[in-house]
Amino acid sequence: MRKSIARKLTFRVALLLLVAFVILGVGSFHAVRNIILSENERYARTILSMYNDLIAYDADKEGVPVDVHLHDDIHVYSEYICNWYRIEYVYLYKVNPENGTLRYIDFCFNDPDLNVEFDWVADEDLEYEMTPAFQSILDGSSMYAVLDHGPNVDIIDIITKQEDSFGNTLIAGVTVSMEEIMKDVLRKFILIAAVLLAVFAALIITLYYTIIRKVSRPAKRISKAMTEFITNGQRADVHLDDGRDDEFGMIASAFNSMTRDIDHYLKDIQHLNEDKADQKSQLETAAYIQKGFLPPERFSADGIEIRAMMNPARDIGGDLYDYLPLDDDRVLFVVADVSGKGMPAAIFMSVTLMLIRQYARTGLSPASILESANDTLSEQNPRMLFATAFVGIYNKKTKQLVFANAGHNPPYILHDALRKPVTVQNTLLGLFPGEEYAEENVTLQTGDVLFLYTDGVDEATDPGMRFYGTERLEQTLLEAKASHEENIVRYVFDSLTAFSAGADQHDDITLMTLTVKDTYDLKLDVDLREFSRIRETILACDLPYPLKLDLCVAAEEIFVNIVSYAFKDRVHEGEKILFTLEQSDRIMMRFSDGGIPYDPRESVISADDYDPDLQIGGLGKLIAFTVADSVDYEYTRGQNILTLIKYIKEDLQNDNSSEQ
Amino acid sequence: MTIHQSNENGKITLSPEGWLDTVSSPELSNAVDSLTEASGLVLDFSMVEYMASAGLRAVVAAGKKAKSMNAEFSVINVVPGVMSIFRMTGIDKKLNIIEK
Repeated sequence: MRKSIARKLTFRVALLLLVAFVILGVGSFHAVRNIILSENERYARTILSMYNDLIAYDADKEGVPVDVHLHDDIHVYSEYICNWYRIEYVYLYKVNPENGTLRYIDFCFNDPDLNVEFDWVADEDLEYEMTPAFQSILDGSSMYAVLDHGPNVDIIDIITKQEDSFGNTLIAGVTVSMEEIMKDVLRKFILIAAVLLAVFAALIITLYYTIIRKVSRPAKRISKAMTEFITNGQRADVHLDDGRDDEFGMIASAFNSMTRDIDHYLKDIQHLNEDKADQKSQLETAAYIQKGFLPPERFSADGIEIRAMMNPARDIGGDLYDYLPLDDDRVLFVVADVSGKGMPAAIFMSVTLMLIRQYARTGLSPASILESANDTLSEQNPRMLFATAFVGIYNKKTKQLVFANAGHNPPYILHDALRKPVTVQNTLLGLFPGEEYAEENVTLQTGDVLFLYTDGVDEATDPGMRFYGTERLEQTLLEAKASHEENIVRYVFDSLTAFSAGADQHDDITLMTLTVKDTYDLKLDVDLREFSRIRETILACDLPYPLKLDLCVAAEEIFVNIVSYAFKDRVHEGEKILFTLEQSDRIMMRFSDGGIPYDPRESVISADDYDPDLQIGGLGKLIAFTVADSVDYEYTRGQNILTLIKYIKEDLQNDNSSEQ
Repeated sequence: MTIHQSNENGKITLSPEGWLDTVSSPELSNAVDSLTEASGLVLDFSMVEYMASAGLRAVVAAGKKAKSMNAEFSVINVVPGVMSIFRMTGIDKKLNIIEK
């Protein structure tokens, strides 16, 4: 709980006033006392001068100073003073000039209760104890005051002296009862104090409420407005009355302008964010369009399989891959890398892609495609962007690859080992018109994998800024091969991603493989005798003989199963079983039939469970699936599609016996 | 497929020649079925380079036939490729299969 500023301030002021009150009280007490003293001194002096006057008068009349005759007059006067001023005692002495002793002149007192006859004789020497007071007066002081404060007495004695006209020293004393005076003083004092206290209290209360009204409430209003400003969505609605002419008016006015400003800034920020989001969405759309220029990441046809991917460092990149079947036999493929990255590279990339594709369509050879593209790009290229590119045309029938390289990383040919076809690097695209590009060719073999990439691969770094490098790339490719990876592009990319985990991708990454296959398609009747065609196809392959026998067993078992069971309940007149055999770095056999949906992978008995006395069926599936390295089944568009893969291994002779 | 048959003091040896596949296996089965008595039945597989599950079933049937005739049964001279078929189905443990 916070303490009210009004309370705190009021408490302090009250304390201050109290202290002032006490100091004032003590001070005024002293002042009163001084007034009493000086007043009584005045009385004493009046008596003295009176006496003096009387004597002078008397002397003038008689010629000689016969002061003794004056006693009665003096006494009358003393009594008058006594009564009028309520003085306890008044006395008048004269100093004997001969011996310095004191002589009475007059004495009187004012105490109705005191009924004492004083035994004194005027103008006689007084037997008087020389008190320090009298001594002080005799020694020259003009006034001496004594406060006699005790259990029974409370008086002030004031003694003063004067020379009379005859040179005598006169001493007058006045004794005042403090009790009486103080009663009076106290009464007045209490009255004054009460009035003062009342004034103070009124002051404090006024102060308290003034603070509450002038400070606390406005402060609360501002605090509430600020809270509202923060929590309320409608910020502009929060407004303070700034009509006051004090500091709170200033604060309110400042607050109002602050809310206006903040509201304004928030709107600005919102606009900025919208602009940014707009730009981002444009970039995303551009990236989407760019991706759309690229063909799908997988292309499979008789005799060839292509896999590719382009992973830009930013939303959008300057790398490209492309492929395009030119006719039944020839397929064009391209990998290119535009200098720089981001939007500028992406624009140049799109143009390069379209130029190469278009020139390829006109039937040009790889070198001519590059020459034409280079001429067109160099014609109008003020920012001097350039690209490296590898363009190849593969002929499935002759297995011949014709290619030209414009400054690009030479590709690898992966079989059991890695090799690089000789490539002339040539000049980059886009800078020098009229450049001629050398064309080369190489004949590929079934199972060869041509691996193409951009320098984003070997120049990828880990967080320690070490390069991925070509050595690591080659090792990764051989690993992929050894583990019969079907998708080498994905395998290399995963290796790259793992390597550079935690580091920024500096450059676009493009990967492409082109796998040389031999593909055979057969359309077979639903008849056991048709298997001979499958057998002939398998035996015609360029493969080790024992492997071909294994393939035949597997194929026969599957084919017999399909013929025996797939069309059991149906007339299968005109039905066909499609058989595809593909040889690359592995053998793929695929059976498609329109029979009853059936996944043969279900309920395959294992060799250990098989009892020839009990089960005679199911042996075929067991044999086929044991021979194959992998089995895949799917049912799509009314077709059972069963795919068997068999890897081509070095130690084929021992292979079968080790299969269990 | 050709099946050579020899009889040596009641011990009958059948020597199929060719591929023991779905189409040809019934021939071996028929040859076994036609036997009425024998003291021993030997399948000489030296000329069988290929065997599918149909052939395997014919071999299992032959083993049963031999048992019914109280004849000793064995498959001999089995080439590695065919042996692996016996092994992957576990038949080599049920019947007397002798590798070449």
